[in-house]
Amino acid sequence: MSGAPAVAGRQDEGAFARPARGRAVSDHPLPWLLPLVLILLAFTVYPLFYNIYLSFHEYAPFKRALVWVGTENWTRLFADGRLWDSLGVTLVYFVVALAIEVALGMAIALLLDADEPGFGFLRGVLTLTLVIPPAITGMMFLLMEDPQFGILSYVLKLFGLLDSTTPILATPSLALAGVVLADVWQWTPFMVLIFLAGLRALPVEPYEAAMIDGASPLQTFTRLTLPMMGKVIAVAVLIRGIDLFRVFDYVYVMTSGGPGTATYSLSLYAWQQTFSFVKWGYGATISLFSLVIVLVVANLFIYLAKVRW
Amino acid sequence: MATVEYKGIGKSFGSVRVMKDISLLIRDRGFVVLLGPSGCGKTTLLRMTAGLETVSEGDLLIGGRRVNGLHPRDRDIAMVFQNYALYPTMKVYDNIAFSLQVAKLPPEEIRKKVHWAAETLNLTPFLDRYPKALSGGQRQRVAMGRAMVREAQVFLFDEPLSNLDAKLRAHMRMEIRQLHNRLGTTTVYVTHDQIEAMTMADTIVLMQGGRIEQIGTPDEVYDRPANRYVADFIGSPGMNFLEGVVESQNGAPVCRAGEAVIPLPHDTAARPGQKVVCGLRPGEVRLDPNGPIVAKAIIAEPTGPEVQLYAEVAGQRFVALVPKGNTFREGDPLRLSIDPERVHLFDAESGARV
Ligand SMILES: Nc1ncnc2c1ncn2[C@@H]1O[C@H](COP(=O)(O)OP(=O)(O)OP(=O)(O)O)[C@@H](O)[C@H]1O
Ligand SMILES: [Mg+2]
Repeated sequence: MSGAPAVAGRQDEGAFARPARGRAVSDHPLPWLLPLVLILLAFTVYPLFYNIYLSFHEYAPFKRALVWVGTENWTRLFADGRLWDSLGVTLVYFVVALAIEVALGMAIALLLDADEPGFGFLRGVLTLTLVIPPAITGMMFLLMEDPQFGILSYVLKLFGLLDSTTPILATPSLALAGVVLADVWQWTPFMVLIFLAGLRALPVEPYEAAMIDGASPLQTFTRLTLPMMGKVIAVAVLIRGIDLFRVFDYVYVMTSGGPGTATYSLSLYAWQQTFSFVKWGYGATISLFSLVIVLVVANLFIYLAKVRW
Repeated sequence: MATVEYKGIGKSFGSVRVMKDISLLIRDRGFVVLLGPSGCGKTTLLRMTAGLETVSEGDLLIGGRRVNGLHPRDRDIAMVFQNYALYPTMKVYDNIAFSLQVAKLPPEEIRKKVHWAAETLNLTPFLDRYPKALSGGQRQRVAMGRAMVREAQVFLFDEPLSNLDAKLRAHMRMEIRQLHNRLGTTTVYVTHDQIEAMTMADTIVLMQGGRIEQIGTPDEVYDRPANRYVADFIGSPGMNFLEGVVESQNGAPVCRAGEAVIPLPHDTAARPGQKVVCGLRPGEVRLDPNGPIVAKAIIAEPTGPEVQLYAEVAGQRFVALVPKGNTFREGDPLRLSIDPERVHLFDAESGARV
């Protein structure tokens, strides 16, 4: 970049001229970028490269030092059945929770997109779940899904949907659903908020035209609302999707990955390797692996959904 | 095909009453033009007809059925919106085809209709574009196309040609007339263009401030305006108004405005001594050396086929259209005459036709 002023006549004694005394003044971009660059270097670039460095080493407890292991961690990764299991768990969690949160979020957003009195209050109430720390939400649902005291278990049993001896979170086929439930409860309102913002910004004229053209509510939704909301939905899916892929809090608090490994997510597995087993190198390798997946999938999605930032 | 009837229709937005006591019967196959200044309620009336606004007072009947509470979807109406209201995420083709698609017509029939409309509207090259890639006039034609492919009971057009150039406008005027002749769909058409109103309407409804000033055929509103407001609104350049007093001169009724004497129809209802306003259309005044209307030239503007002469009559401004070739200098004394039958007379106070 040249140091030429972007605003014509900026160096004249015009409206843009300011006294230089006591101020940082520079036409060169570097001083302005430096703070951000430093922050990025310290908190993003350095950890990333350190992670890469770690993935070629392993902590040797007796030497109390990192030793070079070459590509051992990477070869181990591809042969590790538990890793692929946890990836599978993560993907199921990701797909199911995302689908429910998008569909339910859109449905609720459509219901709340009204100007009648009271709806503003309802929209406000929605934000409440978002202020609760996810770990606390996990504990709430842990209690509610408790086979003896849990209100949720009680209600499900009342309707005959659950037989009285089944503990939700301790049953391999149900545990993941139990965790997804907490996620859905906490994060559907987030989707509702994004969708509502989008819905309320839509122009009314096309809807009037659609009514006159004789479109049914369903036709109006599929032919008008969905396409007009496309970008909004894509951004919501992207934000929520990335978050879902690294699910940790709920499984950690509610099931610790159990029963067995039925709810062992990729993040939880990386955490276990790193902090429980002190396999810093392998833990770093797993997290890099999940980073690559997120990057590839997210960018593919951005490309396919034509999301523009 | 249907009649549309407004019975004492009124409209309030919150506490603001913008329309009152609209009563009008539009016959089946009728072509009604709503005319009136900006903000007089034309769009509001159309939107109520379509069901996009609630009717605050009175009854709205389509085909003899009261439809006040009927959903727009069920009214079987096609409408061209003043602001187009195109579907932003659909291409021109789908914009035009949408109503047919939701009605689940066979694709081949839809394709035919859309291509016919696009052809008529010179839109064929743009069928694959999105509305945002069109000019204002092109968008307006898409809006028009969306209505044209419908076989609705009633057409509502809200200034559908306002953004087109003169040539295209003349072309579209003809197309709309033909469409109406062919389909016979009852039509309510809003315009600011007097030529459109005069050439297309079988009935003109002149509105002002949320009220109807006059309902009549184009000839009726032009030749027998119900009041001074209508007389002023219809015709371009506008009618001249001269304030004066009715007198009898040699047994014939005249209106005296200062030095000028305006002959009145011999069967006029005006009484001698009555204060009136005479209305004279600029095109119906003639230069006449022996004419009774004394005037003074101010300025002349050649407009092509004729000369628009600005003059002063009894201290009031006056416009006359005179044949090409006449030249005037400021201050030239003039004399004008007019066929007494062509003089419109309005009461000076109420403005009503005398
Ligand atoms: N939603 C609304 N809320 C309040 N007032 C409104 C609303 N819509 C229209 N009005 C008022 O109603 C009156 C009639 O408006 P309308 O749009 O029908 O005018 P119009 O005759 O179509 O004018 P134009 O020729 O400029 O399109 C105006 O005074 C306008 O301010
Ligand atoms: Mg209007």
